[in-house]
Amino acid sequence: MLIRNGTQCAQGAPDIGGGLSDGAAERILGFARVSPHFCEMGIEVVALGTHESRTRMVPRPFMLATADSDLLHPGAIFSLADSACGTAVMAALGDLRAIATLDLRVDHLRPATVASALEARMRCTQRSEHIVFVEGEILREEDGVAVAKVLGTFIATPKEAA
Amino acid sequence: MTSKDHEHSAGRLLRETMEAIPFARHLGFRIAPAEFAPAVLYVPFREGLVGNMMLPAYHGGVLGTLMQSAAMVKLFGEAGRLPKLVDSNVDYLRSAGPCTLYADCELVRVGRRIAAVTSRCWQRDSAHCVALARMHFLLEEGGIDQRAD
Repeated sequence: MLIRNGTQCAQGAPDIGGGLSDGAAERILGFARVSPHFCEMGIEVVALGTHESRTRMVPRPFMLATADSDLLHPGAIFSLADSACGTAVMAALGDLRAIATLDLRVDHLRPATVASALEARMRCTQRSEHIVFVEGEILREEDGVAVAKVLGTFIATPKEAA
Repeated sequence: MTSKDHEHSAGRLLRETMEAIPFARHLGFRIAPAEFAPAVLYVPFREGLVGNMMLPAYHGGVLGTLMQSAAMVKLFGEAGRLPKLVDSNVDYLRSAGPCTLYADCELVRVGRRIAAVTSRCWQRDSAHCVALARMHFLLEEGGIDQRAD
């Protein structure tokens, strides 16, 4: 089942499968809507699967690395990567335990510029009671080319996230 | 030029570097004054930097960005231009709560083309890291953004 985020859904986003309940998906979307840094960066959840997520960010001029080029600061990619992994991890857990990043690696494969929206596609590769492993890539929306490769490990805390 | 003059001009160069990084400026990052040593950069807490309101804790991306920016600013001082990040690994050790966040930076090796850099992030006590980063930067002119796609 693919859960789309209503008005913010990208056209033609393919089904990424899974059986995430509507309730859990709604709560993850709700978390993303109220997270201050998600809002500041304009990071939106486009689709959720049982253990997968797609998130999107439209770069804005304040995210630039320098004032005299159109290259994004790597930190903007890093924030998208962490957010995207987090939503996939919440989907994999299927409950609303708060999560924390244990470690996150980002390889910058190609330049990302302010000119193209970015889509992060993250999938959880393994989960246990407390630990979730996640990996994925961040694509330039205009040509589907990967600008970053992402690898993360997360831990679920006993506390509720929202 | 006295050593004090030199310190002043070095401080001005760092501040100008920070001003030249729009994303760092937007997030509110500042050059750490001498009394915050060993910090290179710091950022006062504000709500827009929070990932999870219930904890509340800084978003992991903000910690990563602060450490990357500390490295960029310090490498700028060495190379005279902003380096390009090739990869970064961040370990998150503790939740970073709603107070000022500091980051230092160690240039482990600066070669002709590549710099290997580490950075630590802390809050009240510099001995209690909240995050650690390992990064590789490309120092060459061109580099990643000149590659044919």
